[in-house]
Amino acid sequence: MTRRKTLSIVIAFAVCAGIVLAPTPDGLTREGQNALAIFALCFVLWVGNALPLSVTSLFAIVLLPTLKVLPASRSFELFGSPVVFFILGAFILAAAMMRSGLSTRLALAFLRRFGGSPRSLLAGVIFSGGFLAFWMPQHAVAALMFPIVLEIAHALDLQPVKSRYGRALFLALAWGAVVGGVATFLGGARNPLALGILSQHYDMSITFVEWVVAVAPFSIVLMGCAYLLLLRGFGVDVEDVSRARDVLDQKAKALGPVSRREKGVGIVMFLTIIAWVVSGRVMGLASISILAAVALFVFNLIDWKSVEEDVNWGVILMYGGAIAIATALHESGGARWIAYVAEDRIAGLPPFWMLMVFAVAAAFLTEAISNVAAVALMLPICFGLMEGSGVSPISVVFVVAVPAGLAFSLPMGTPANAIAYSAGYYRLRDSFVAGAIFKIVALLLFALVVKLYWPILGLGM
Amino acid sequence: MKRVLLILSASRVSNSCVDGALDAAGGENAELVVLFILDTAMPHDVQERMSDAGFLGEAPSGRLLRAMRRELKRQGISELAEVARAAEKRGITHRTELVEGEFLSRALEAAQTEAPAVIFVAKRERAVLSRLVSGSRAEELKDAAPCEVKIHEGGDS
Repeated sequence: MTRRKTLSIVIAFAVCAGIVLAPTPDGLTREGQNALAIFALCFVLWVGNALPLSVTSLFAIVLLPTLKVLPASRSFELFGSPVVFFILGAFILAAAMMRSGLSTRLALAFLRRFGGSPRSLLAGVIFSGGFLAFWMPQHAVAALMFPIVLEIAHALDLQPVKSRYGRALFLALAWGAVVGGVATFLGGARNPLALGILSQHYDMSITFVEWVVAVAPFSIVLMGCAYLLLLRGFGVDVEDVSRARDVLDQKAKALGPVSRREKGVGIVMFLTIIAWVVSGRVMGLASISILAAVALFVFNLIDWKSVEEDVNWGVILMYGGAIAIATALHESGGARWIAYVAEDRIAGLPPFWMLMVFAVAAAFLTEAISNVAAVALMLPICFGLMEGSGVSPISVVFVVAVPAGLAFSLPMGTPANAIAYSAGYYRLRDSFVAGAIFKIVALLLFALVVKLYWPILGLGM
Repeated sequence: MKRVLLILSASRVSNSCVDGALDAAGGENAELVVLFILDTAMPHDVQERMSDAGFLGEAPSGRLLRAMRRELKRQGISELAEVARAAEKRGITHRTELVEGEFLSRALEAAQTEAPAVIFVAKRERAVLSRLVSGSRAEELKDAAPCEVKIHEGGDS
């Protein structure tokens, strides 16, 4: 075990024990205090990456009844949240897209359409990654695009670090997937997780269409901003991309004609999206997602072995645990107490600025911690802080979940960044500086969306 | 014949480090041994992150790992060729080697077997906090190596 991991575990337990053993402050129940201790423990373990994320979640599930925050039956039943099954179905759909080759075909089709000049190829990497991340997890998109972008770099003879275009290309790979991942429930599982926490707290929901209408335009404009920023920040030191175009053509040719399996997966995916749009509220997103997964097996489009190889089942533990922690903070009064303590500092802030404080906090927290963990930790507290302000909890979900997906600077922020960085075409300082500038641009754009666009949709402050 | 050992890896490349090793080998009329370590730690970290935070299973994260290793190897070969060209140009006797493994243990192995007079190594570019908490492999090499170790800051190439 590394020094960092050992240190994280020691600090996590020390903080947890310190909070449990401290006298209970006025206005906080014993259950609330213990919930905050578990919250702090998870926070430190998640930030320090001391244990696998899902193991930390599992640990929290056990601690909740042990420290008498929630009854054991309540704690464990949160694993059965519909959101967990929605995410599971979405991962199986993504596995089918990857296994059938449909996702690679879509990525290549996009890139070939854009690959006429260095500038358009750069745009192609951003937009094809972004578009794919609308429909499958952003990490999977980055992993899928990684070998393609590497081959482009080799074809263009781009030198790691030395080539400015190479730096831009690999940052485009990460940023496209990240920005696309905020637009739907499929790109980042933190979005449905936020939905699950909303449902546990307020018995409210957001439909697939409502999410897409509220966030997709922001995501698309942000992809354009990424393109401009990379062009301006790194420039183009390549004149001709015809060799890259040849590589893309060869790869597309090697795929052959569209297979029966690809067509089948495409049809199931299309019908699933239609069902989410048309009857998501009636049937529930999770039921549709699981039905789609079943359909893939019925029509022999994927087998169980492939699903087992493509999906890490820790996903169930992670999301079940994250919902349990958020619910425990809410039901024990822990979140309300933090809100009460913080009230003096933010009292008097207009709702818009409070929402922006949440957005900035989420956007920066996500650089150091898994974005799922950022949502699980922040959302219950933000709900508590906004109680009585007249702001809809739905708006709070958006201002936490969307910026929590915008990790641009550090490899530890999201696997998409780690993948792109691992190729060695850009240095940490490149992504740190460019990512910080892009983050500011993204937050400014997000503020405009919250202030000007969302009120048109009826998302009140 | 005296030896100068230059240790590189994909995340520890520095022009000043390479120049320093070439100058030392040329000045002392020593043999330059250039070792490129395909550091297994970084691809494994990324693969672990894919699995842990991205929840992708063994198959896609394994494919990613293989792609990363291929790329690192390609970069290693290219970097070694570049240093060899520079050494040839200056008439320095040289030898290059590409090995795979954990950076510190492979570097220490080379320090023992090659018995160099001096080792040149670059620090991996990392966030300040990360270096404070996890320490530096280059500094650990300096503490454990049986000879002088000259450390250069990474990322200046």
